[in-house]
Amino acid sequence: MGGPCVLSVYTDCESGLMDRLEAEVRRLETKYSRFDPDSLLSRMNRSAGDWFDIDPETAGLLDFADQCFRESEGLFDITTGVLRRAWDFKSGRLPEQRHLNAVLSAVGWPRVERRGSRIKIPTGMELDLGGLVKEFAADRLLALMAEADVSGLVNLAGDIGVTGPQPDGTPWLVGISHPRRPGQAAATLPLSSGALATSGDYERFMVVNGRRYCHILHPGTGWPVPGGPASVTIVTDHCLLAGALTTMAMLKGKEAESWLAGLGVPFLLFDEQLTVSGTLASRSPRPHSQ
Amino acid sequence: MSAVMKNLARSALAVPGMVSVAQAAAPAEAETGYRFTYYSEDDSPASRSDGGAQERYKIQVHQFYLMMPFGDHMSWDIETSFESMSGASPAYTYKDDEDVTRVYMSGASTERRFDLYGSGRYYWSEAEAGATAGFSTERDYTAFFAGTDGSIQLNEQMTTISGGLSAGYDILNPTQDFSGDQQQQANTPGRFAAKGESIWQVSAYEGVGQVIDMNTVVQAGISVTHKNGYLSDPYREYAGAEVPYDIRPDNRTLLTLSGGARRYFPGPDAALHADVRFLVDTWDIFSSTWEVAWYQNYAPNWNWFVDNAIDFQLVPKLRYYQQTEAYFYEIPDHGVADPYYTADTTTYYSSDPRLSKYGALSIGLSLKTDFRQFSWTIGGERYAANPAYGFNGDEETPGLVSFWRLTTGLDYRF
Repeated sequence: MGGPCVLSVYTDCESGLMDRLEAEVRRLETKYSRFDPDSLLSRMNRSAGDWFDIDPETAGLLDFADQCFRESEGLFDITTGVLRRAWDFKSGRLPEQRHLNAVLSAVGWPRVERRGSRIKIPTGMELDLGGLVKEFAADRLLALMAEADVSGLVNLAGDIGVTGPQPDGTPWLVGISHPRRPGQAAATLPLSSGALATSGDYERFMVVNGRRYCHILHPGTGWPVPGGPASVTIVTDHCLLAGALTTMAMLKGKEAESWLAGLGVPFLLFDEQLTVSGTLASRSPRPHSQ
Repeated sequence: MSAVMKNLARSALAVPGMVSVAQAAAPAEAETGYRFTYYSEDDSPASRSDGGAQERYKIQVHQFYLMMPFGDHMSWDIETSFESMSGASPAYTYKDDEDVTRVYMSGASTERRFDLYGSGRYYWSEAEAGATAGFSTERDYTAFFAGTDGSIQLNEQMTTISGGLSAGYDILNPTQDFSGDQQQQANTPGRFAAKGESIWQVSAYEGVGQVIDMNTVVQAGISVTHKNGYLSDPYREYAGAEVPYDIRPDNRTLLTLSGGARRYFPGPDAALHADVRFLVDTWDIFSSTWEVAWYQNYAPNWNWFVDNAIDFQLVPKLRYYQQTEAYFYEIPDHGVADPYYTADTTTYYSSDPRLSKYGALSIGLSLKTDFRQFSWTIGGERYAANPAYGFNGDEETPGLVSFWRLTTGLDYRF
């Protein structure tokens, strides 16, 4: 899942629930891994140019990705994974525009065809569900814990959700990473229900000529959006939704704050200057502006 | 919540496995509501009425319901309604000496009806089952009803199979003003014949719903109903005829096939509902119902509306119905000696316009406004039945009904 995963569950160790939860995470990782050539995602991408049958779960995720594409006016696009071919964040070198332009020709979700439970990815294009599967896995674990009637918290590399308050009725306290101080919490949010996700320009990035370039790339330009937030945290009912919204907000650039305010969703935003804003800023017990 | 958030949340929840199925199935909150309906039939056309009252039924209905979750896996609900109605209804239709089709309206009466239903449901992770029982009572009619139903979700919740069984028992006690049996039989033979009679019925249905994609659901169903007992209308009579003016077979079996589709359009945030239903019965009636409705949602993205969770749903609806006539439907010709109206109760006949060949059109418009935990609904419907709508150009059926129906209601979730 691309990072440390933590499950805090109030349950009987003999119940087998923890095994089921781990198995569910591994199932989704195996199914949607872009590194495993046998994963469904890899096979789907290899079938580009032909129709490929997909199962209801995959269809549901693609439907959600489609909704995100439309609601974000094209910013949330699961075909942008190919931009990795041009961007190497470990190299410290910016991509050549010529190379970027060539890769951008393989970006464009509307060109992917759907007919019920079949999909046809245009030749040369590929899908990347990296922005959805980890969040969906967190929601799946929460659903399984709710079915088992246990209380718990899921943290899949920063995508966090809870089944409800802790058994004694107190909320879970969730630390929000400081965008410029790795390992340090910038704020602590009480979470009694729902889910929380954070996206930031500190996860994968490089600094060239004093300017920070993060891994969240605009599907139209292939570049990070200038003036975008340093990090965005959103609280909503489900991780899948929270995660998609944080990605969209990062891609909204300077308009991120007003866009989130318009959605009416609780959020915490650090802008480029690390100024804190958002409805969660006032509720946070320990907000830090720098 | 803004429209964008609603669309995204709806889409996220549509991903199979997103939420605990047990959580999703059982109602999370209680709900109560009140609904008032005013129903007004058009007056009977004076040119076709043979004396009697001209003003047809006006009905006022007050309905209440309360649904409460009970534990994590159960819910129960009670529903009750109170109706008061007044007006005249067609007693018989005939052709006069000049072959003009006329309808005789019964005297205006005032009636009240009360019913009470209770039900309970149990929810498993991918199935649910419920049981309902209730009764309805009015001065001349008492009905008891019990039923059970269930559904199960298969294929990763993409397919829902549902089914149900129900039974009813009705007791007729038509009122009359005459004391002696002979007088009753002579003056109100229909009511006299029905005195103490009963009807029982059993019904079974099976349905299947299939999610095609995130925005499309199709469904199909079949049901069979069998009725047995006194199925004639005791109020259809002809004073002085000494025999009921409506004698129908004492059993009736109805088979219904239905199909429908729901398609949600994310762009305009609206859904198209299309339904069709075919019915065939042992009285040789074949009917079809075609209905389309457009559910247009609108959630203003202004702060006050978002903060108060205010949104609107406007639903225009159009329905077309047509049926063939029952094999014993007959408009008697009073100009000639009629062989039907005799004491032989094995010869079936009825001039009830509801058994004739006719069609009906209905248009409706309703508006639902959500405000926090409240939903307020107001709607109107115009219904008109006519032989011509059912491609029947041969005969007139002046007793067919046309009506206005206005409904308003308030629901509260807590």
